[in-house]
Amino acid sequence: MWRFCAHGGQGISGIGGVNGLARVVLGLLGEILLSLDQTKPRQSNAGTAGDPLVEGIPGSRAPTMPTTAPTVLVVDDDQGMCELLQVMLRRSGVESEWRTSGLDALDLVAERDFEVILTDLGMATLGGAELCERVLAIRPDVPVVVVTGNASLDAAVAAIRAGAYDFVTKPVDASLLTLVVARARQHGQLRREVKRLRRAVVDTQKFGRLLGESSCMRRVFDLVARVADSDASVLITGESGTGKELIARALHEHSGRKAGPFLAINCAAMPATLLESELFGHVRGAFTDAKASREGLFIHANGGTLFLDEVGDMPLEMQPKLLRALQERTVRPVGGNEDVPFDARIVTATNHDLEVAVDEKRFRQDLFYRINVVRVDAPPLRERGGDVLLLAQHFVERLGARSGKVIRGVHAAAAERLVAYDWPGNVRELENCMERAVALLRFDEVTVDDLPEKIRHYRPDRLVFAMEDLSEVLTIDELERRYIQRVIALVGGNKSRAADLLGLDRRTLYRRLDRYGGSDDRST
Amino acid sequence: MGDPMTAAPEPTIDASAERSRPALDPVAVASFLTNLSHVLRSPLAIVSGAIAELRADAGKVPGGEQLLLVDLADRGLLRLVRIADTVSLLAAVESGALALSCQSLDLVEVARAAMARAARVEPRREVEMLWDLPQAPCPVRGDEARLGLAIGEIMINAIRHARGRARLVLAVTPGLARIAIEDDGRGVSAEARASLFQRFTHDAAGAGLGMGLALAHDVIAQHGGSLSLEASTLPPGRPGTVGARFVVALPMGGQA
Repeated sequence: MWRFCAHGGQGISGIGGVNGLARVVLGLLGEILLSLDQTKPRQSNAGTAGDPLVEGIPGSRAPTMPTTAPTVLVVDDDQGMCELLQVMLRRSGVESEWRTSGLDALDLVAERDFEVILTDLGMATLGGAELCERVLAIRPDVPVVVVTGNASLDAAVAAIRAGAYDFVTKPVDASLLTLVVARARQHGQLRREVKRLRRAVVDTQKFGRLLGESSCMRRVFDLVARVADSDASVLITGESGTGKELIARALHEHSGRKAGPFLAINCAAMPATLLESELFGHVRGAFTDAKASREGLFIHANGGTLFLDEVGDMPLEMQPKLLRALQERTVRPVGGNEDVPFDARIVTATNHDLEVAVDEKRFRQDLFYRINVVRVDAPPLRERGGDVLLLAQHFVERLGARSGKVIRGVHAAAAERLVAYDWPGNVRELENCMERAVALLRFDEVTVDDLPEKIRHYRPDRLVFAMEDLSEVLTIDELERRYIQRVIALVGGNKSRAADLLGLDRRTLYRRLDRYGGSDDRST
Repeated sequence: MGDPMTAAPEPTIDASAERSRPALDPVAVASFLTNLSHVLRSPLAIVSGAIAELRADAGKVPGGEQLLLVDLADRGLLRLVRIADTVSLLAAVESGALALSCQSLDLVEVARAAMARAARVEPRREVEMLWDLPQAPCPVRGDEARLGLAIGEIMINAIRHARGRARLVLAVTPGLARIAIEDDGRGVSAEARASLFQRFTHDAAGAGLGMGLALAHDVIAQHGGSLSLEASTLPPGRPGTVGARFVVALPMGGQA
């Protein structure tokens, strides 16, 4: 009889039994060698190789759905190449589906979403370049990576012109493939994220002027909402540029005092005598230039909120006066003899570690306890994840509208750089960066070229020991600066703890931060 | 002596000399191709042996991925063997010394083996393969290897261009065996038909060496048969398309 044999040697008999059309799916027949066993009489010379055939083939690869949805679609008219790429991808933890025809691939892309499409360039029915164009017409956000047997520049250029994100050449190196696919997936995710953020900026429930979707910002919103209506003293801590004043404003705007004034003063910007006069007011003749009496901010803020920024830098001699005002709810103008009651909520902020300042006698402990009834930590931008892009989109739209430019947003490659950068200057730095980008804009999107050089060429710290060429080498000073800042971030800004971990005394740590400018720029 | 003030003339390329370069000696070309085919056999044999050993080891590992990789290598090797076979046949045809080793054959058997080989060389999961072979033997006189290669090449072409189906039907009429190999692809364009059986002609994508159908045509002609193109009788793979149907006609004779 005729017998189908799997090449492993396992025989499969009983195929068909009547004359007629025999059929087998080729991927399966590919497993089969047809052999003639002439020692037995022929029963049928036609038959159907159906499901029983599949079961009998060792290692048969009937198309089955993987346990997780495939993220990559492989298209190559060479099934062997499809299968090889699938194995390579699976070994790097990526599930894939494959098609040996560009048209079939297009049908599948129309039905299902893939994160990356990996296509051969020269295929019989539909070439890779055309497939790329047609895929992008249906799914503009999906990165297409071209696999080409022709390593020439022309092939690469043709692929990129067709909209391909990247290309790899045959023979395909598994580690390179893994890297390219991982980058393409990340790129695609960013494209989708950027698009989502365009909508999110419009739709997001803004908290006052605060914008953010990250979990740490949601915690801030939640805390602000809960304490807004009380008169409890709130101390807002956080690095420079994290938006402490915006949090203070949000507190005001969500409180029963929102109809009243919101006044802000920077306590670090003026000497003690002037600060006292600004806060508490003065009477006529209190000092040389005091031609008339003047009410201070505490009184001006009646019915509203007074925000004392940089309270950690308040001159030491001024601190007991502030403490007294907060305790008594009255102020005595400079040169005056009477206490005047005030009715303002006091919100303070600092980028110092006030506990350390208390330890070092630079800040009064009793005042610290008085202002630190509720503490709100403004998270640094580098810990806010996707908020970077949300804020970037927000700034671009606002600045674009102001400058009369129609800007769609941030290109995915630029978004990639923005997300990678560590933003030592926080939201303020991001805003400056976007302002610069909008000013330099040449297209209707912010591209990598519109970003400052330090962001374009930023290398994340984790790459320090994985550097592969001389351009990635850091100086010892820069390495130390980044390391210290990383440790400080890990301990939540507690410099005493950071100094312990680093094996430095606290003063040495401060000196080093001052030397790097970190004390002012980042953590004070 | 030359004038010292005159610079030495720049060497020039004589374009006419380029054009008049003597054409390659067909005998030398055929000899080269024969040698090429031979020198390929050794490394292919080594790889084949190594794959067989690996397969034995991979079969012991549960999970199947090792076996799959060995199988991929095996199929890749089979394709290289096909190229060596094709080059060898080309050398024989080019030198005008295509010596057929004819014997009595059962064409049913030859077709079935060729079909299996084609399916292994050019597997496509999406393509369903259909066949209809007669119960009775179909005796022809021919060179089993060359005839098998010719039918296999036509089958590979059908599988490659099929949308969802490729079919081989062997029918016998008095004195004549007809093997129709058809697919439900896009068919052959009018302009491609003229050079369809000429060597080194490609489809639009430029895939392959452009030798398969041409050599199949020559081999079948050497057997006193013919190879022709018709419209496929399979339902269209996509609306508005008509696939290709290649018909091999061979005189019957001999004892299977």
